[in-house]
Amino acid sequence: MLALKIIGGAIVGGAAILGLISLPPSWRKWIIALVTFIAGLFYFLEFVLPESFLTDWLQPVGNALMVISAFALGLGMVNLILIHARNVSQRKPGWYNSLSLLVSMAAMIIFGFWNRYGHSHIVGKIYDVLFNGMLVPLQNTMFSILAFYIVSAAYRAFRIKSLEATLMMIAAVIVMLGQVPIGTWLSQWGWWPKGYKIPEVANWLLTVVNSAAVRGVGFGIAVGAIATSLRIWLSLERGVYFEQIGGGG
Amino acid sequence: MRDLLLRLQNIDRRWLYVTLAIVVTLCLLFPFNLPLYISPQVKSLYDAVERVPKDKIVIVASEWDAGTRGENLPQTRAIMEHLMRRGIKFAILSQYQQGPRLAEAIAEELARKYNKKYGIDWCNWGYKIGGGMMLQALSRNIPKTIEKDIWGTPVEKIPMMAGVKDIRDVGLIVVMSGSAVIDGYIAFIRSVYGTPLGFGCTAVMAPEQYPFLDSGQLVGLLAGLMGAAQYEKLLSSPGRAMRAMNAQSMAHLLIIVLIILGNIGYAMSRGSKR
Amino acid sequence: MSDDVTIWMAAISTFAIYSLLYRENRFFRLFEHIFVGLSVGFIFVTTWTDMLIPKWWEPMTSGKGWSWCWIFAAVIGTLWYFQYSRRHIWLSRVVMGLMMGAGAGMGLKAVFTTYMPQIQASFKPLNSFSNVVFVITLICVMFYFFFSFEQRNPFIRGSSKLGRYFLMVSFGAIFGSTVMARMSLFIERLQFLLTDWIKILD
Repeated sequence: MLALKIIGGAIVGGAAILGLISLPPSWRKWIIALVTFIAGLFYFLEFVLPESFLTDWLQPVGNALMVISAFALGLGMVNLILIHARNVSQRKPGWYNSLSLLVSMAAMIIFGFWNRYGHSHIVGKIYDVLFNGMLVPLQNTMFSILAFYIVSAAYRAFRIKSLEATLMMIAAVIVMLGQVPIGTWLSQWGWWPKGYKIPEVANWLLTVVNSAAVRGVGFGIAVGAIATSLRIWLSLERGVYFEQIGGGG
Repeated sequence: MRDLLLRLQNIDRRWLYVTLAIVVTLCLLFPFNLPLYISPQVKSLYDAVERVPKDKIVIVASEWDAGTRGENLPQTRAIMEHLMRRGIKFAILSQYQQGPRLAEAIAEELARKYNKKYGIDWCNWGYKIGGGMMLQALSRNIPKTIEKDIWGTPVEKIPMMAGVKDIRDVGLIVVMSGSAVIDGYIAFIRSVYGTPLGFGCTAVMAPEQYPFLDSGQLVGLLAGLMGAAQYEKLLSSPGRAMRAMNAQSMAHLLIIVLIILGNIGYAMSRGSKR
Repeated sequence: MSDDVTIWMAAISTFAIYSLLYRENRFFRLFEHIFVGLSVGFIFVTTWTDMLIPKWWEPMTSGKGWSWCWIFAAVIGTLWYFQYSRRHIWLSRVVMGLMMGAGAGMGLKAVFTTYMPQIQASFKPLNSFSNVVFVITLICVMFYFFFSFEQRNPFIRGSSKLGRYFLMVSFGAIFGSTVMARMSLFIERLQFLLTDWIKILD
């Protein structure tokens, strides 16, 4: 009985999609705008009418939207498979890299599910090699390469040519020294004025000057965010996504 | 000297990479003691954890992945160690796929040290997609939003989740992240329900969080590896973060020296062109 | 040295990526592609096991009340994949619109709940040097971002210029913090190699 209900629901849903497809192209923009508006209206009304009946619906609506967004998981995967499978089948230059990508993806999926739902020591070890032995260190190392690029940039690109650059460098040096023990060590000697130790000065720069400047920038961002949110909610935005809907796009 | 500096202007950058690697390796191999300054923001977070009532749980939002592991892992470890020491129950949550698994490994390691048990002293809610939608749903009804833990156990069957219904049963949320997920926690939980919120972020993000500290929207901040090292010192539990501080100090000095040398060389090269 | 195959694979993976620092090479490219494949596979597995199975499949198949209606979430979810159809791509924009509309509605709430306390906290008593510097910095930085009219008034121009200098100090602080962040990631990798792989550190 349950299976029938689910299958029936799938058929009704499929029929609804077919119905949408058969609608005149001029209706498409309005359907998208209506869906966008209703979705935004729920959260906006929930905000302006606190502790109303809408607040009780936050949890089930949130659950539903979480599940719908989770279904997008295949988007990137499908694209990658299409591109790299084509590389392999047509033996394009570097096709073995594409093959390794597809094989590693398949391996992670197979052993990921097997490890989760199975109880095998060997499978667990293989999964451990894939996750802790390859995925984590590869990602970690990719980000850590930036340390070397910063060294290179500091030597070759950071040039003090103006008052602004000088201010920036002085602040950078104070913060760099203040955030590590060397700054504390340098300013621990008796002749260093009390209350002006490097870490304290760095902390003051961060909590007063930097905090105020970032807040000022944040207020500008907030105004822009309100404008952008309203434009998206009311479908007033223009651009590739928003324009090419009514025709063949 | 002048010729040397001018020639150094065009040095192959790989020599700079080697210099960095040698400096950091030597500092790790031959450690030395340098005093560690405890910033008020780290102390503030430490005090917030100390104030958590024993009848409430803490959410350790492990919103990071392997890319920021170098900074967020020691922070997560330090916070979890503090919670386990105090006997405060906590739940791991993440909007990053790797977060729950990386955090679980830390919790299991600490559980062996403090003799803690999964389900009684901590649990792992796993990966939950949804950003603001998820956080708003979580605030209203935790069991219905989480449903099952990372191992597939229904939340109602986890002993420590008995009596945990909504955000009012949470005494503190500590978010560890290298991205702007904290904005959602501030907007939808802290500012609406007043639940205390702490943040362990990567150092690059730290300057942007100070306005939130100033307004009280964050109760404390761990900035990068340094924040983790300071927290380890407060716990009197030296770990990898504290041991890395020497290397961090020398790396910073190296950068400063290179900036100065680069600018001296640049000024000289401009002078010689004239 | 470690005898754990996981640690050895981690060390090999680390050196594969660091080989790029010497020069572009096939070893790096191979591991780069492996990383992408593993990453996408992992995302797929965790989304299924942590999200779709406990929050969609199991409730839908539980048989309780109207739980079978969760099938409609899957129907809406399939709209994402019309991205690959040139003729019906607009259907994917229905579900995108749903998400973006929800995001925009939440965004309006988020701006107010995030920034109202910030505005409140900006009204500081001018009874200390730090508070005076804070308020002056905030006002000058806000003046700098007034682009909708020409800044002719000398007071506004001067404040705007001062705001620019304060922003430079802030960017310097951000640069200093960025250096710390990047170095920390490299130091962690080196700690792994020396502690877990070669085992010459405790």
